[in-house]
Amino acid sequence: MKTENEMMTKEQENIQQNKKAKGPFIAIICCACLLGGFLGGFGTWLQSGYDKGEMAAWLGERIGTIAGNGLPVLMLIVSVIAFGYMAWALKKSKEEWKQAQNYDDEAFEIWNETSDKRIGTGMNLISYVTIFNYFSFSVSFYADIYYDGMSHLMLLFALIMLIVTIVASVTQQKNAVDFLKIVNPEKSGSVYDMKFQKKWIESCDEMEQQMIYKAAFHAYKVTNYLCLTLWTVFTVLAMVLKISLWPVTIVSAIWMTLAVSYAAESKRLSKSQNEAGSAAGGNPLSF
Amino acid sequence: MPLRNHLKEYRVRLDVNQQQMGQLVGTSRQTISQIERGDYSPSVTLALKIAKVCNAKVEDIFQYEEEE
Repeated sequence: MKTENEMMTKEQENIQQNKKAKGPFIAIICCACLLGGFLGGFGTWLQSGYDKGEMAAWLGERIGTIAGNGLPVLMLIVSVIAFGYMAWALKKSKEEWKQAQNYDDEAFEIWNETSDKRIGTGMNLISYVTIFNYFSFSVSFYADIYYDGMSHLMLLFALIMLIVTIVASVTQQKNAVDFLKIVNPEKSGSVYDMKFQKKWIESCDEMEQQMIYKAAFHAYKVTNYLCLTLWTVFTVLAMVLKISLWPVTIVSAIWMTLAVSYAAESKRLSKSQNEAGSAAGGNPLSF
Repeated sequence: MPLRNHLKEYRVRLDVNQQQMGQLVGTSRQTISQIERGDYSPSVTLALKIAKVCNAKVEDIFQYEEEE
């Protein structure tokens, strides 16, 4: 039970911390208001003098046709780079693994860190390229339906590239995971298993799980900022061009999903910890 | 990190490498390596497991030092 003195000290500490942070906070809010006001005013000035619908259609057709025809080629280039790098990374790590069996602990740790970085870079590249190729296919598909300048052959090429990306992505990830399981025998899970993520995380120890959770929280924070930024951009764009309400609706839906899922999971974990505290044993953080 | 440890000395006495130590305490080789380097402080559960495997007290292996 806190004494009256301790509570007063804490209150004073709160007042001091709030006082210190209030100045910069108000300054940021004011700058944001000025920027928002400027963008809104600029948008209003821009929209006068031309038909918003025509402008949006003209821009969309130009950009869509170029992107629709050009992106499939880019899909091929980035896929070759990403999957080529991953194949090289795995081959090199497997070759070095044989020699690493004779290393002492320190040398093995150095090798393992280098190998992990190499394979980790490869896995990240594959993730980025997969998302990019999904997007590129959507653009080509849309351009083929709505724009006359789009080539059907390029759409077919985009479709083939998408299928190749999906197959290669799963295969490369499987190869990487199988190799990591050889180097780290405590790891388990098959990439083909629908519950792979759950099994993989469960086979990670406390340090590895902590790293995953920290990275996930960082991603959550970044996505929050991104949603706010995108909402601002799409709201201003809607004033300037006739882009419909879809973009701002989708961003809002993602933002809400983020907030609700975070709150729900926090509540579930808090409840689990309370129940585990009153029981003999049990893992409050089981998935 | 305020937690100092003598895990490596105890591990060498047991004549096991980091991978084997990890298997004995139910954790990964990387975690053992990070603990020995002082880059990671284990949880109470893990520290107790390590002490049990090393046949020593937790405070013999891990010491807490106040940061200046």
